[in-house]
Amino acid sequence: MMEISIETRFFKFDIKLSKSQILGILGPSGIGKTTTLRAIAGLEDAKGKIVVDNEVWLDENISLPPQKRSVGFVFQDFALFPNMKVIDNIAYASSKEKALEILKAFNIEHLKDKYPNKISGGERQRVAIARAIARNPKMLLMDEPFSALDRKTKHFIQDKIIEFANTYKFYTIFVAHDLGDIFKLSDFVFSVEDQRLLSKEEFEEYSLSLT
Amino acid sequence: MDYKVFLISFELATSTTLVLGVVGIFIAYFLAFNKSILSDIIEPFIMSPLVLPPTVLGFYIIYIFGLGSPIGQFLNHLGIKLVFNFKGLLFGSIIYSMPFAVSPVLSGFRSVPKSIIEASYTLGKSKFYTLLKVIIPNSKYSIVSALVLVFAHTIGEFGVVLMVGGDIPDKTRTASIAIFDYVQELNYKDANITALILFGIAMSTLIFLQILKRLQER
Repeated sequence: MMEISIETRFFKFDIKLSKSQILGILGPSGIGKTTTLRAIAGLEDAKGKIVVDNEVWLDENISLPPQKRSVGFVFQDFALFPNMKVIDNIAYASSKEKALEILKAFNIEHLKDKYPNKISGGERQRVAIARAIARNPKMLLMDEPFSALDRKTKHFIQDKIIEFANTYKFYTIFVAHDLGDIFKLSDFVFSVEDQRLLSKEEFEEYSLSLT
Repeated sequence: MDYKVFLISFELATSTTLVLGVVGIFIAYFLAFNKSILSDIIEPFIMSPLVLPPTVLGFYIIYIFGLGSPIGQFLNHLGIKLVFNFKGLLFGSIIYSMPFAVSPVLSGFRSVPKSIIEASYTLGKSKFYTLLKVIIPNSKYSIVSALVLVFAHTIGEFGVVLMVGGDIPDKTRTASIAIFDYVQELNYKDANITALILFGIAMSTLIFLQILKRLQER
C-alpha cells in the first residue's frame, strides 16, 4: 500500500494506491504536475507524508533524499546520459543482463550499442522508460512519457508498462496531456483543477462531459 | 645557457597541473552545486588572482607563510618551509593558477543538464558516484582545457615565482625568470632562445585549445 498526502507550492495531492495500480495526473500546463512528481521523488521540497510499503519517505521528521526513495523517474527531456551507450544507460542502476532483458521487452535491442544522440526522440523516450523500470523501483514516476511516440508504439509501450507493473508490483504515477493516454493506462485519475480523485468509470464520464 | 631552468619550469608546471587537476574539480563542484552564501563568498577569493597583480599575491604569501609570521613559524616547527624553495614555488603557483583550473571546469559543470544529474540521483546513485560517472565525463573538454591552461600558465609565471621562490639558481629559477636575468646581463642570445621556447609552448597550448573547441562543437 502507498499513501501520499503532500502539499507543494502549487496544490494539495492526496492519494492512496495498491500495488500495481496506475494513477494519471490530469491538468492544464503550468499548474504544478511536474513539481508534484518531483516532490514525490525527493527532487523538490514538500510538506506532508509519503509512506510506501510501510516505509516513510516523508513526514514532519523525515525527508529521504532521492537516492533513498526507490523510484524510477522518466523525465520530460528523457535525461539519458550522453556519455553512455543505450545499454549502459539502462544498466546504470541494474545489470547488463537485466538491461538486455528490458531492451528485448521494449523491442529496442537493436539500439543497445548506440549513443543517445544517434537515436530518434521516440527511441530515446522508450530507452528512458526502460531505464526507469530496469532499476526495479517501488514507484514509477513518468512526466509526459508518451509525447514523442507514434500511436502504434505508444500502445505497445503502454501495454508493456501495465505488464511490468503487474509483474514487478510497482506503483505508477504519471502526468499526461492526452486524455486517451490517461484513459488507457490509469486505474485512477487525479484531476488537478477539481482536486478530485476519479475512478476509471468516473473519468470516462468526466472526459465525455469535456467533449 | 642554463637548461636547468626548463626542467624546473616543467617540474613546477606538471606538479601544479596534477594538484589542481584534483583540487580544481572539487572546488568547481562545490561552487557549481552549493547554493549557500558560502560559495558566493569563496568564488571571488578563488578568482582573485585573475585581477590581482602577482606581486600582491606573492607579497601576501611571503607575509603570511614567511618565517616572520606565526603561521610560518608554526609550519617551520613542523618542518615545512613555504618560502624560497620549490615547495613554496609550488604553493604560490597553485594559488596563482587556481582560477585557470576552476573557471573552465565550473562553466563545464554548470552546463551539464540538471536533469541528467537528477536522473542519476533517482537511480539511487550518490553525489560522488554521479560526479565520477555523469558530471566529469560530460565536462571532459572543460577539464582538459583547464589542465592545459594551468600547465601553460604556470610555465609562463613570473611575478609570484620571483617573489615566493626568490630566483635561486638550480632551485627556484624558472625559464621566465631566466629571461629577465639574461636581459639584465645583456645576454640577448640566451634570452632569445629561452623566450622562443616559451613562445612555442604558449602557441602550442592555444592551438591545442582551439582544436579542443572544434572537437567539442562536433
